[in-house]
Amino acid sequence: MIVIVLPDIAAEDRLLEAARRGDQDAMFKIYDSYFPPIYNFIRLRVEDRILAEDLASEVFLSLVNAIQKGSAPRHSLRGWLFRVARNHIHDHYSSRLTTTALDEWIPASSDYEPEARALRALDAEQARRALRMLVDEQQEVLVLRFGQGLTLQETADIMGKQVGAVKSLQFRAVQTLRQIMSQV
Amino acid sequence: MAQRDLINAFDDCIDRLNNGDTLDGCLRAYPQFADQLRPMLMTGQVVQRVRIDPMEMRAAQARGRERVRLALQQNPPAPALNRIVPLFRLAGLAASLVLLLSVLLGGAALAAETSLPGDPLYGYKRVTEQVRLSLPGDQAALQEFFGQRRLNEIRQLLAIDRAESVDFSGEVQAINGEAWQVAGLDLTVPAGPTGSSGILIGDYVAVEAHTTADSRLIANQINLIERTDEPPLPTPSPTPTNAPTRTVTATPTVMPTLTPTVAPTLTPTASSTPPSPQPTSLPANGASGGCVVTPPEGWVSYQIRSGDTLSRLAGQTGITLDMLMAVNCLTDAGLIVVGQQLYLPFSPAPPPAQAGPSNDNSGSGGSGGDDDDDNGNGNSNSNRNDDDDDDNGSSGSGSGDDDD
Repeated sequence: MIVIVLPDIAAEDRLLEAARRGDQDAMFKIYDSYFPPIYNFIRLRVEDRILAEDLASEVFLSLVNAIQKGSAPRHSLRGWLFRVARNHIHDHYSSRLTTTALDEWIPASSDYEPEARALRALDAEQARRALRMLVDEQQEVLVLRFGQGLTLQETADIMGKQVGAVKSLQFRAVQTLRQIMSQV
Repeated sequence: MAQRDLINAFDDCIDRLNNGDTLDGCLRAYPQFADQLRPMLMTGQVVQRVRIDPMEMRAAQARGRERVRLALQQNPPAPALNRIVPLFRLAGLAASLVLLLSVLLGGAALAAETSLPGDPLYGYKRVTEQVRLSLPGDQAALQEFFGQRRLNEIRQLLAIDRAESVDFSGEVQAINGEAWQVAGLDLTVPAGPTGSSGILIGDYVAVEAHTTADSRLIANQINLIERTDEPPLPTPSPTPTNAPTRTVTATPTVMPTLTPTVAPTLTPTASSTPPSPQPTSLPANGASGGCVVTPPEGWVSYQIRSGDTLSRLAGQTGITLDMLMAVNCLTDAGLIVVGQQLYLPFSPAPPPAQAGPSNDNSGSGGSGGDDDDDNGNGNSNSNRNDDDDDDNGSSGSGSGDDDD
């Protein structure tokens, strides 16, 4: 269930405006359309589903809070939500080591199949494990660009980077992921 | 230089894929890099294999939605503090409270408003309430408002499985051994010095308690505030016939223990008729006035079948018992009847086959012996009615995300 939210900027801004005025229906519409991708984004990075659920909920509580304080965004809601989600993940893990052990990786198959076939055979759990062996930034860029279908500019905004840096990062991330998968 | 071109081509291909182009379509645009780009793009698409179990997603979404709803309910959005004049006309207690706090105590109070027990700003929240109560105004309404707030905080803590110390007050609605119900909350009252002895159904009590990481609420101390002499609610007229208690189809665990003290009141008058002695949705507990059943968006109506229990339904649909009861305005986990309508996040699997005759009128297709109460979703054979909207990775090649 990869949920790609295609940006309908005008509709999104109208919803946001209504939510800022206190329209609860608008808030729930925002919630219902963005919870799946946000949860997806977090869950790819966070093994513990309870924690992932908590972090995802907090993204939307942050939005409620921001509206109450008058500090909610007026535009680019999608980017804002992903940025907050990213910050929550980072806050949570800032005090911990996040390196995922290599032995978590379970090979997709042990014989020497062509790479393409091996890739196709990869199931969800294996894909998640492979992804989680990348460093944080590389995971993020792949999830945002390939998983969520965000643009280069949006990804750069969320990650606080220049577009050129994101371009290089996504390239390196895929190279590394390939290496990981060829090691097994 | 070629490396830079490759990086740009790779980026462009990601955009093309995101905009609906195919892998081959993109490779045709960059024939000189096709051999390098193909495995890279396929590798990138590995991310799309990571699927979240739809059941997990729905349950998480329903619970998160409830948290958002509670946050909105507790604190309706009050933006635009610069609109001073209309604010004075606001009748809502919450709104005036927010204004008052923001004037008295500054912006931090606003953030504190949504805090829960254990949060850094929670102490602040309670102090501001005391400040507010010390000022002139409708103290009774405020007390009631703050009391509801305590209950909401506890529901939120239970919904997120967080262990904290809490306190609240309300009417004792049921006492079944250690399982009490106070102010609509399920409360475990352990044997021992909690001060619970002598307290009866209908009493108004103050409770010091703690929530646990497994969504339970356990009393530390109970103090009697006030005793009302009203009969202990929700039962129909007390004609002490020897009608079988079985006409009330309810959880076997709770029914037999339903108040030995008020045993005579348990018998429904129309003892032979199947219809429930209870209205389908019970009125709310006396403390909070009328309760309106307002299911969160996306929840479905579900008809209670023989063998259902509230705790099982809650477990199956991934919500807490407390949330299930709150949404449906239920005040006693034991009192549900076959045919009763409830709202649930989604329609769960049928209950395990019952020994007795079942008036099950919706073809359940039975025999599903999955009586595990938890919604462990790693198992392949449970959650049978869950495969309606997503291929869950079982069929590899049919779906459209393989490109060649």
